[in-house]
Amino acid sequence: MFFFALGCGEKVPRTGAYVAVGIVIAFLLGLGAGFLFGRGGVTTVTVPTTVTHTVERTVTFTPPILQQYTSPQPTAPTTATQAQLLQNITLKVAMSTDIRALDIHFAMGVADFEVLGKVYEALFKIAWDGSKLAYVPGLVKSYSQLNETAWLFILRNNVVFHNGKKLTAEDVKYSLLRSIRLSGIGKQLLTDAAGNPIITDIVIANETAFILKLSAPFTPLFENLAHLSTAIMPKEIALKYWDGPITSIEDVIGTGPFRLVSYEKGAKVVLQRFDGYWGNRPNVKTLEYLIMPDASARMSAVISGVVDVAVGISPDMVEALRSQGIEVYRAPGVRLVLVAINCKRVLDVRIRQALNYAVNKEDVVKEFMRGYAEIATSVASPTFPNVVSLKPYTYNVTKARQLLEEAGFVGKKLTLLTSTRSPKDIQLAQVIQQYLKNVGIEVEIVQMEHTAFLKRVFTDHDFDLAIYGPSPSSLYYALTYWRTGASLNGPEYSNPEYDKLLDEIATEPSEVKRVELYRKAQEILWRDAPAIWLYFEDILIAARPGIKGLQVLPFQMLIVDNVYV
Amino acid sequence: MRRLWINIVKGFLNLLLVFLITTAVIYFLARLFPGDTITVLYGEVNSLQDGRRILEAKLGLDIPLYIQLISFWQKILVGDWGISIFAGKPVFDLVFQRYVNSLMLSFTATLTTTAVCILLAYLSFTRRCRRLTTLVASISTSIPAALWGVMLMVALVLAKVSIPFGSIIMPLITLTIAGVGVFYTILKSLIDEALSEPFMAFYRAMGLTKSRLFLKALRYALPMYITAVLYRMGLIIAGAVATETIFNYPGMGKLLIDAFASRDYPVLLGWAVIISLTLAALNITGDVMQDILDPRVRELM
Amino acid sequence: MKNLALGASILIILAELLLALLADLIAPYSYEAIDLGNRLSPPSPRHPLGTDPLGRDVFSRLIYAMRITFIIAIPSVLIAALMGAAVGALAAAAKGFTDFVLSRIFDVMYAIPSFFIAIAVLLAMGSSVTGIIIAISISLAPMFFRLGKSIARETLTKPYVEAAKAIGASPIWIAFNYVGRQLLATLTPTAVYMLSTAIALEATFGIIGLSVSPPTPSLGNMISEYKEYIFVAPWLAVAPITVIAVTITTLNTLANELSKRVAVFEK
Repeated sequence: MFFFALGCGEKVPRTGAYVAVGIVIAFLLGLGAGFLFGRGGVTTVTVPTTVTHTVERTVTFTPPILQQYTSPQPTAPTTATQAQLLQNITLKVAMSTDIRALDIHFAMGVADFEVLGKVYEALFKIAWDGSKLAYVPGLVKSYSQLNETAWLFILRNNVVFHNGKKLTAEDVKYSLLRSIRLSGIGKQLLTDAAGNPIITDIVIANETAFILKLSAPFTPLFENLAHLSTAIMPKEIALKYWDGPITSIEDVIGTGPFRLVSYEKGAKVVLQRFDGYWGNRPNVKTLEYLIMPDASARMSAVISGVVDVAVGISPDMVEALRSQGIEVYRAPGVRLVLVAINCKRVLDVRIRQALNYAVNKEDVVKEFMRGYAEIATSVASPTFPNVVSLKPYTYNVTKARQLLEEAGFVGKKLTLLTSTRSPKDIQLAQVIQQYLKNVGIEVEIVQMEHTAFLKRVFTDHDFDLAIYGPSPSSLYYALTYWRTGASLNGPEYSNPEYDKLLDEIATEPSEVKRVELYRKAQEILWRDAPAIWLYFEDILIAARPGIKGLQVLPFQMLIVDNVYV
Repeated sequence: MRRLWINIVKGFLNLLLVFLITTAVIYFLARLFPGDTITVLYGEVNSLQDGRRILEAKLGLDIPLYIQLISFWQKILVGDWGISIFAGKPVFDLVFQRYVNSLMLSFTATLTTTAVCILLAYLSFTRRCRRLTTLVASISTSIPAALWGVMLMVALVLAKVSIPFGSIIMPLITLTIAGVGVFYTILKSLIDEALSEPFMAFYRAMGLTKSRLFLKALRYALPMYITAVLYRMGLIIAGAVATETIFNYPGMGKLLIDAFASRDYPVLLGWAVIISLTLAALNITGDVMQDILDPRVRELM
Repeated sequence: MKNLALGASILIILAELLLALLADLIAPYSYEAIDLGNRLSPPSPRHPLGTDPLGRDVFSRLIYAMRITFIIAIPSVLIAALMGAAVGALAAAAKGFTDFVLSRIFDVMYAIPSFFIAIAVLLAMGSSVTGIIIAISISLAPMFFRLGKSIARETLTKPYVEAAKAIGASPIWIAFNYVGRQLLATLTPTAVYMLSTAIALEATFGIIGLSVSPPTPSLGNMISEYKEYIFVAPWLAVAPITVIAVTITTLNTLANELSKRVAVFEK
């Protein structure tokens, strides 16, 4: 039967196949060698390591009683001269994650604030001078305190939305109400411990003036109103999407320097300069975000010049990028990477402290993060005002073992949850596993798809240990994560003394006393250790050398206001 | 003629059946997986109070699962595919646009792969460059498609070529390189089989030229080859996830991954509708083509 | 010459299997011994394939990864091929309603993306090696079903089958002697190709968390981790890619030689 003469019935020796494999390997090795050694005379590029904010003088202030404030100089451009100077740059940025939704009130991740933060503005904004963050008026021109629980705000009168409509107090009212109603973060920011809204009424005085009436004195009001989750949108849009997220790109209308032109889910977001912007208009005319989850694809894109900027650069890539002539910008980050410890399961504070002593943070930061991180010395980034430096949990295996023994926690097993979204987190999980093994704790790593991870940690609280990294916008907000029953309190930490301190901070009028209360709250949380406090990740951004004037905020937000080529 | 009509009706019923089952399975699986649209919207901020209830009502997630599914089927019938709250556009527009992208990728990749395969098969048939053809096939099959994408990307970066991210070119090249090996092997074994058939000996005796002989052999190989090729086309239309992701190409694969990650149920269902219909249609086409092209099967009908 | 190719490929596969089996004896380091001070170091006498992003010895991890990958890929392809091809042949032989029902089942399996199947299996039986094997074989089965069905259908129309039927050969004899042999010959190359698909699928599942949990290595999760470092430490990705390339090429050669032998035997 010759019907079965299948396969390649040929006489060619199959050694050819191995030659083929050899070629593949040689190719790969060649690539590597070429990449590493193939450049004669590597020139070291001097790279800006810190970014200075030069546009606007930042005014660090705290709201004293009955203080009055008027913004120093209207920054509105004298249009004729500026128009001539404007460049029309197209800036392409490679991002690692897509935006979650088109609605700023549902913004949560870094990408959301990066993109939508250019489209929307809040009443206040966060300024950065290279070492400290400050909260300064944004859409608000001036404000004054009427009594303990009432504030009068006057809006800038030259602000227009992308649809051409002038910003009015009505818009502010409905935006804030919508934020409190729908936005997870908005609710967190503007409700008190019992879940009652802090803003009890918004009284409209005239077109650009309104009064916020509060249920009680609330000192972090301005820093919370600076969070983009309380951003302002037109009244009609707020009412149209009163019950759910914005679902049409035509309805993404803010007051920011850029407007959204097109969005292709998972692939691309295009912003365009809004020429009616009230402030200084940037040189960037078109801002294009390409979504590239693959780290080596992002590197390729920035090296080959397909994009101008790439975010989400891991510390290991910095050297390789620099040797290719790409500039790497670095800014301290506010993202605190931690291993949350479920306080309902690990009740004994000694065990939680032991876990902190068991991890060698110096080594993790120096080697694993290549020094592109700062060891946590408090529960929020030192870039925030009022953050103090606390006594670190120095690596001490003996002490950790001793504490565990005292607590009777020997030979136990714990599960460590990580999200598969971040490869770095999975690596970190294995490092933690190793350290905990050294003090006699078996750790089983469970990887989960990101949404399932969020549900398990923050809704079901079904975990022993979990790796994540919150990025708060202020110290107060960072502290509220750990309030009893707070929605971001995945580990279910609860300490009545701590909760009481937070309430006192919110109502304490004296700044001196408040600083002291802030210090106390940080100390308690640090001591109670509902997490292994690890480090603050630096923000690393790669940019083509031709791009000048790029700035980076500690929230991993790019500031393109002063970009030129 | 009547037979043809019966076949068409049968085909249509098949489509309907596969469509119903597939959408149901995908919907239930997606809903069973931990976390839902609202978990995605609120992320770390777990909102147990009114926020969740308002949204559940708005998105229609508060009614029993099977009713959600039935109402989805009803809406599909009248052409209402719903709106994606994450993509900012109607589901139909979104899915259709990605479908066109994937269809294009699938067609072009199949064409280029087949062209290369036929060329290689011809070279091998005329006993020229046989080492080369074996080599090409071996290299192509030695690593999976996703890795070919990475290698291609690295090579282009080193060659200082600007990579067209977002366009069809890179995924096309990747899929062609990765596909050639397998399809060449299939085509070649089919042609070898043809060569051993008596009718080829007959044609040879008739004194046909080499290229005419090759065409005859190709004709013999076609039905089986098409079965294999259609299968792969289906897979590419359904999504070449790794290749699409690495080269930022907006196709069905990325759509599916994104829709699943954000628990975007209307989009998932939209994806399931189009893909189940396409794949079932491809299967039927495969059968019909085989019937038409293969004289031996045709005789039986 | 032919025997050389066959012998060489069998030797290579045996060597790989042996390496995987004796991993505990051969591996110079533990696959999970982290050394942060020695991250991403290039190949050296101490670490013949360098160290990974956590300072672990790549060579040791590779050997263990081969073990896991073989444990996952080979059974899943075998199950898929047996299940798919046998049912396909059955459908071709039975025709009518049976064919209809079986075809629709596999149509649905084909239309549902493999990672959804993985999710279903994960929900049903938790993340384990068995779970991954089942998920992969379900994803691969429809391909074997389609091919098996069309091969069987074609074989059944061949004159020699008609002849066998005419002289009163039992259907079982025909099934084994003609259809089975034809399936074996045609599907072996496909099965070998599917091994690489199985390895790739295993890596894909890793992305959604249905993979062997770290720090256990598999070729799939090593590649998906190391390809992020392709510009930083290219030698990392070279090692597992080489293993995959050699394995697949060897299996291809083996499959070819084997199918030739089947053919010779038939003559």
